[in-house]
Amino acid sequence: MASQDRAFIRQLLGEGAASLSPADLAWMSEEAERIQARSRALAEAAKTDLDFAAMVGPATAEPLGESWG
Amino acid sequence: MTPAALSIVEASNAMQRGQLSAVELAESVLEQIDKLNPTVNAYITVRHSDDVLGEARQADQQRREGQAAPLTGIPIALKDNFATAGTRTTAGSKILAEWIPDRDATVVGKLKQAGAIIAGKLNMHEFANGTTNDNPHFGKTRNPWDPDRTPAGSSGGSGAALAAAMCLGATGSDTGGSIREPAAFCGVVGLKPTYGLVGRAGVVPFSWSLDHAGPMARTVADTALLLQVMAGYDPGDPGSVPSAAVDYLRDLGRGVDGIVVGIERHYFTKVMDPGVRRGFETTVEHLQALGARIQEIHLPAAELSLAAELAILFPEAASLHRSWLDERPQDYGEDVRRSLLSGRLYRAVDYVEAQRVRALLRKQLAEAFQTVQVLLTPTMIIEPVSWGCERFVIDGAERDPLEAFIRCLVAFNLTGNPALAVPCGYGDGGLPVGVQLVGPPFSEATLFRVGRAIETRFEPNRRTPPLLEASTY
Repeated sequence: MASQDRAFIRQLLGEGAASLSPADLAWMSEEAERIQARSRALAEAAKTDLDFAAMVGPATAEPLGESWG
Repeated sequence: MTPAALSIVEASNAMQRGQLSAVELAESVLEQIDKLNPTVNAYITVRHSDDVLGEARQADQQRREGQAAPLTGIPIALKDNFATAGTRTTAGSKILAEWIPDRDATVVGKLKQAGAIIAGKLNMHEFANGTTNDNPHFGKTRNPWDPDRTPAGSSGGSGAALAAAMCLGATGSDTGGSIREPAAFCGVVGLKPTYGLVGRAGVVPFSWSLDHAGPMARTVADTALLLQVMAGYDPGDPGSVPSAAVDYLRDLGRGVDGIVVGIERHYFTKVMDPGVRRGFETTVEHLQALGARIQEIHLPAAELSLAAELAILFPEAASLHRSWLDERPQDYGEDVRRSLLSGRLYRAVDYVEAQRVRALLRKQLAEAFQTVQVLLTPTMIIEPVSWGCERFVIDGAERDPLEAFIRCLVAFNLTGNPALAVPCGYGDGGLPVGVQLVGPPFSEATLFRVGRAIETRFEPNRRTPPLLEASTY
C-alpha cells in the first residue's frame, strides 16, 4: 500500500487510528478496497434504476416504522 | 426427560394440571446450567439460585390463587444487550462489563409482567457485531450439537442455551441475521419481527435503522407465545409502531392448504451446501403435500442486499461507538474494533446509495407479496462450521465468510419485513439446518402458521443434541 494511501486511511479513521497495529492497518486497507468495490455495485444500481419510487426513497436513517402507514 | 427440556406450552400445561411446580422447573433449569454451562458457556451471568427459586415459589402461589399469567413460572434468559435493573448488562463487551442499569428494557418489563422468571444473561458476540460468538472477554459460546463448532451469532448464547435446555425461552437481537443464524445452527426457532413491532428501548443498539429485538424458543408455538408478550408500542423506541393487538397463536393449527409460497431461485436459493439444499427442497415438497402452492418470484435487488447492509450498518455503528473508538479502542476485541472503525471508510454517498437500493428492495418485495403470501428461503446457506473456519467453498466456488453466514438474512433487516427461522432437518454431518419464512409487514401470524406446518412434518425426525442427551436422559 502506498504511504499516501496509508496516511489517507489514518486520516479517515481519526483518533482511533493511533491504536492500530500494522496488521490492523493492512486489514483496513483491504477493507477499503472491498468497500469501494461494493460501493461501485450500489452506485451502478442507483444509476441505472430510473424508477421514480426508488429515486425518492429514504436517504436517511429514519426509522422504517414511520413509513409503514 | 428433564422438565427443563419441555417446551413453554408443555411446561405451562403441566403446571396448570398440577403435574409440575414452578420450583421444580426452575431447579431443573438451574441444574442444566450447572451441568452444561461450563462446556457451552451460554450464560455470562446466572442469577442467584435463591432469587430464581424465590420467584418460582411466588409463581406457584400465584397459580394456586388462580392468578397465572401467560408465562408464570417459565424460566427465560436474556441476551446480554437487554438492560436489566440491578443485574449487569455487558453487551458482551469489556466496555460495559460493569454496567448495572437502573431500569429494565421495555421487553424485559413485559416478560416479567407476564410472569417469566429471568434465569440470567446470555453470551453474545461483542456488541452484537459478529457472527460466531467467539467473545474475547467472556469466552466462546459453543454449539451444543458439537462444541467444536460455533453456534453462530450474535445471539449465540440464546440459541445454545435453548438447544441445551438451559432455559425455555430467550430474547435475541437481529441487525443482520443475529437471531436467525443461531436459530439455524442450534436447531431452534427464532423470529426477527416486523421493524417497529417489538420495542427496543433498553436494548444496546448496534445500527439504529437495522436493529430488531425478537423471541427465540424451541418450538414455533413457544415463539408465538413469547411474541404475544413482547410485541406492542414502546414510547421509548422512536422506531416503534402502534399496531392492533393480534392473537399470534390463533392460526397455528390451520395448516397451509391454499397458501401461496414464493421461492426466489436467482439469489436466495442459488448457493447452498448440499445438506441445506436437501432440507430446503424437502420442505418445499412437504408444503406442497400439505396443499400449499409454490410460485417462483424474482427480486433483482437482493443481489445487492449485502453491499447495502454493510454500507448502512457500519457507518451507523461507527457513529454510535465514536467516543469509545477514539478514547478506548484497545478495549474492543480485534475483529469488532476493526469492523467498527471500518465504518469511517464509507463515504456519505455510499450510505445514501445504499439507502436507495434499500428502497428499491422494499418496493420489489412489496410487489412480490402481491402474488405470494410468504417467501421461503434457506436460513443459513451453510451447515454449522468449526471454529476458525475461514474458507467457504459452496457449490464449488469459494465465498466470502460473511456472505456464507448472512447471504439470505440481511435483505429483511433492510426492508423491515418479519422473518421466521425454523428447523427443517439435518445436514450431512447430522447437524441442524433450517429454512426462513418471510412475509409482508405484520404478517407474523401467517409465518407462525406456515412455520408450524413445517415443524409438524419435521417433528417425527427431531433429534436431541448429543450433549443434552448425555446430561438428561
